[in-house]
Amino acid sequence: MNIDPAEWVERVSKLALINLSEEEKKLLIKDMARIIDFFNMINELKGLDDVEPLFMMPRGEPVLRDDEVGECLSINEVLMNVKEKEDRFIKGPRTA
Amino acid sequence: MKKLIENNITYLVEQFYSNPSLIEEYIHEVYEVIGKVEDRVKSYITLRPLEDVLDEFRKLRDRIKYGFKGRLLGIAVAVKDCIVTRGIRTTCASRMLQDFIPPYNATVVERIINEGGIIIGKTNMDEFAMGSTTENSAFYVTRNPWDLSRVAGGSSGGSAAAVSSREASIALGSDTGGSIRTPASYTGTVGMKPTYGLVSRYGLIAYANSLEQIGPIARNLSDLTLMLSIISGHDPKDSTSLKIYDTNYDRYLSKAPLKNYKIAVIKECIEQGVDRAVMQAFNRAISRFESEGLEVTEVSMPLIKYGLPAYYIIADAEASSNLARYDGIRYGYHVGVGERSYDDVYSEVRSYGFGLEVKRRILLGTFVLSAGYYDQYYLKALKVRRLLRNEFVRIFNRYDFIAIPTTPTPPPKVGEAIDDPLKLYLMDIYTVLANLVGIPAISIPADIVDGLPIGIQILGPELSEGYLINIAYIYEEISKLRDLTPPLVV
Repeated sequence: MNIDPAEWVERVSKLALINLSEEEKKLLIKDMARIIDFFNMINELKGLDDVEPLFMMPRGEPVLRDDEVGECLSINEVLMNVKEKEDRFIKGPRTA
Repeated sequence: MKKLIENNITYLVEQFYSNPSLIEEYIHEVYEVIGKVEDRVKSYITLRPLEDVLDEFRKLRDRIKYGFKGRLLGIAVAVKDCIVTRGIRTTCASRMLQDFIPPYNATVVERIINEGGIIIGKTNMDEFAMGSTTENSAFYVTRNPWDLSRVAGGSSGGSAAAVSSREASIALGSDTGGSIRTPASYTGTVGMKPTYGLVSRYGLIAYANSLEQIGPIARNLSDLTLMLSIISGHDPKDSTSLKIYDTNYDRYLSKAPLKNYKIAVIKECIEQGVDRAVMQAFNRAISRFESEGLEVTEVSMPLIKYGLPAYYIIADAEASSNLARYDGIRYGYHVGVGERSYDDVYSEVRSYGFGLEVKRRILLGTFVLSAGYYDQYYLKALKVRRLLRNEFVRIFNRYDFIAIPTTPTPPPKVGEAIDDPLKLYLMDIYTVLANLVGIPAISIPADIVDGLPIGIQILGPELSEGYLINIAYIYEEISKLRDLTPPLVV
């Protein structure tokens, strides 16, 4: 890989919204280039232009269920793991 | 006298019907074993208190009086901690979910309870199922009941260790790239990854959703078949669930082959990089099949070496997307919101909540999906996946099964592989194939070499679970490798 591993970790962790400690950075930098080289193995394969990518196992049938009202969780159950709430509302951080 | 826990489930359930108080005796036995071995093995993250389980037994006993019938009546079942259980903490072995109490049951859990099964605990695993040794658990390592200095495999290591050491009669695992089959191989148990879509993923906490399936880990084929029959079949709550309704696989437990089976061995999987002990066990298994008159042929699949990198690219890409849901706001590890920005809160939650391997895979997944690299890595890996699928279809046009080792080595020592991620990824080289192409695969004990069980993996075309059970059962009959007892339990 031509990218500098330290720079790579810095850039991608920002993109992924993950803060890393110095120790974690060191450990990730250590193996990152080797792992990307390992990924690069698939680039040995040529002539794949016409191959259709396989995202999910192909299905020959409709996958949607009927839109029928059924039993569902109560609001209390849905909110049981929320730490900050007011009445029936979840408190979240600012988005702007 | 033979302990109750040593019996197969169908036999136990029959006994329990005629004498429901035996269930109580059985539960005490299971908790006695747990008391003896759990400190050393560490199969469970959350074990339900004996009193709670006895309460459930009493309710079950009352229902039996009113005619309740269930194929798992009173049976102690362990469930991997990435499968949600209503009211029972479900952590995914992560700090992110260490106090998460699900308000609902996964479909598979619901089906087990409907059959009278008792979920006694949640088993240890690699964090978010990312790993092959259960050393990536945020809590502790699960050890192999055959040799406590070794790992039990992963990521469903706790489930396999619990079943092997008699801390439960049967367990559920999940398999994204080998996470049922590797620990089954390492602990002398049987484990199956079903066809993609056969078992509902509703309530399975997602790691790589196009690859993973829930499946059983058992001590013998009879138990595995029963559990598969119960958890398989259509679920409207999972849009990838296949419309399959007949899921009784009992009839495949036949000592005679139900077809004139032809087995293919992939040359590239046994040529190099396979440990001596694994090869010895594998060859033993192949010669046993041949002595039963089954036809075994070597075939070549040069493409196979691209399976592992393609798998890790796809799995990491899906992981980076699936794990984006952990914001700590609706559930999971929480930091005070105050007047802070979304990015600030979100980054802090992820930084504390995830362990190193999870972070590594999120970063790699983010990278292969990022502008400029998407075509080169992610899309290309999906093309390799298509080619591999075509190759498997080609082989299954001529052969009924493919037989390859489950893992290239016996279980490593604790600490031996964990510091080198690539070494760990290589452990999955033969198991990721079934996940990439969506086919079923089973790992059964091939032999015991130097005191350690070693598995062989048999793969079949989509929805060939019945025939896989049949050939595995035939092997169990000839080899007598069933209900294997690790030294720890004796």
